[in-house]
Amino acid sequence: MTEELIFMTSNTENTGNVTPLLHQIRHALSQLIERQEDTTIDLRRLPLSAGEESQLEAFLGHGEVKADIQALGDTVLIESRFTGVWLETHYNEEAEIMGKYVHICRCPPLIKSQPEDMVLSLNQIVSEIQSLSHTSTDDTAKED
Amino acid sequence: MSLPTLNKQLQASGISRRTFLKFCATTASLLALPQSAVAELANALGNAKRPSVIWLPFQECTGCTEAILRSHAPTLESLIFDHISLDYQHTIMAAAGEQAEEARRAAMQEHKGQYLLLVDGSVPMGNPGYSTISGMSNVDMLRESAKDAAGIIAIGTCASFGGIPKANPNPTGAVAVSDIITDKPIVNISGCPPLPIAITAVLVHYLTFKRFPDLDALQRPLAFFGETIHDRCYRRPFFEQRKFAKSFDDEGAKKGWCLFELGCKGPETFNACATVKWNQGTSFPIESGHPCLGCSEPDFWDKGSFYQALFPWERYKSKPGKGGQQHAGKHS
Repeated sequence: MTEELIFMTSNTENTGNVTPLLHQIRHALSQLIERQEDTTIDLRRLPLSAGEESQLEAFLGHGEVKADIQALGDTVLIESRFTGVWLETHYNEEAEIMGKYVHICRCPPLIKSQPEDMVLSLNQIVSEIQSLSHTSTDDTAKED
Repeated sequence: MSLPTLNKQLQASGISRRTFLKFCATTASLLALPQSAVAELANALGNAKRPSVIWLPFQECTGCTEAILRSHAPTLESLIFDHISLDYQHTIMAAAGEQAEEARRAAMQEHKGQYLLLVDGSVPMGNPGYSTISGMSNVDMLRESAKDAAGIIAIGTCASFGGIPKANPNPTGAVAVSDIITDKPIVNISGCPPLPIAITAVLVHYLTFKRFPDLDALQRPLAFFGETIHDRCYRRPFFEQRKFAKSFDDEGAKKGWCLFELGCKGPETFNACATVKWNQGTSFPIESGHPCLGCSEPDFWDKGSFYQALFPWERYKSKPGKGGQQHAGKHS
């Protein structure tokens, strides 16, 4: 079945996959509301013509939130005009698209601060405050 | 010696967890893993010990090494290349001769049964003297290094299938790695040169799941070799409409029509060039106006002219390809 779909991914005509995809998003959103269940759809693995991808993006539109993340190339996260439906695009340093996903969730995982990074940040802030205190102590000693 | 985990190494390099998660998400996509597996991938990969890698360059042109070294830098892929402990690669290492061989043997002993063996280039069997390293024939070095390896990754078409050295009349008696080593897991990442991202993804899969990814009948990772160039070619609509360039400077060529009649091997070539592309994602041969040569397939050099059509268009239309299955049937 999968191979049939892949074979039919010709740009000569649309695949007809946009409407089923929108229904999948609709279903995932209802699951999020009822069961707090997150869903991620990897657009790179779906047979969509270039025109259909634009059609999907136009349908989703832009909502209230847009986030840019700089992590070895940009990542752009846009909440669509449908609250809880996010479009995430990963770019590399050459602005080439590395991945494109639709997240149906309250907040995409990549936006959240990561515990591992927070631990490092805590160490860093402690260290910087300490060096700040040392500097101000040194300055006071010089004034004396 | 205790090898650091990837997490420790990333932290030391100032790479954030968020960046790592982005890498895991894109790699999962490349490997056709579900996005629900990203967290598992991140956990397993992050806690993976730094693997020891021994890389043997045999009868090769160094194109495979060049392709990897000159891939985008710094990149997400470089996270993995920086993570491995490349204990031997005589083309790029500072040491040479017996000093280099000592490093190889030390790594083999220290990581017995755990190191990965990467090989690029074919192995001459006609006369061992055609290609030697520090006086040792390629076949002896391969057998010695493979004995305690956890697995082997054959990089490029020469290591995978014999490649250009094996082309008729095969003066050196060149063979592929899998013709010599038959008792170890082997992945072939063919291509002349191969796609660097395919090598990274296979390494990630191995580090995460402790095994190689699913392979096709030619032992190539299905995630990258499951479809033909033709399946994902942006010129495919012109093929369907029977609009072909007849020469490299005719109207059809100028309009970007299909290169099938100029000898494009895309319909029979399994690789991901059309989606992953080359040179920082700029293009791939067909996008630059040249037919696919089929360089990731066995014996591509001896399949007749690069500039003759594979078969009549009608024949293809009556029997549409079915990705890896068609290939599996053909070569198994």
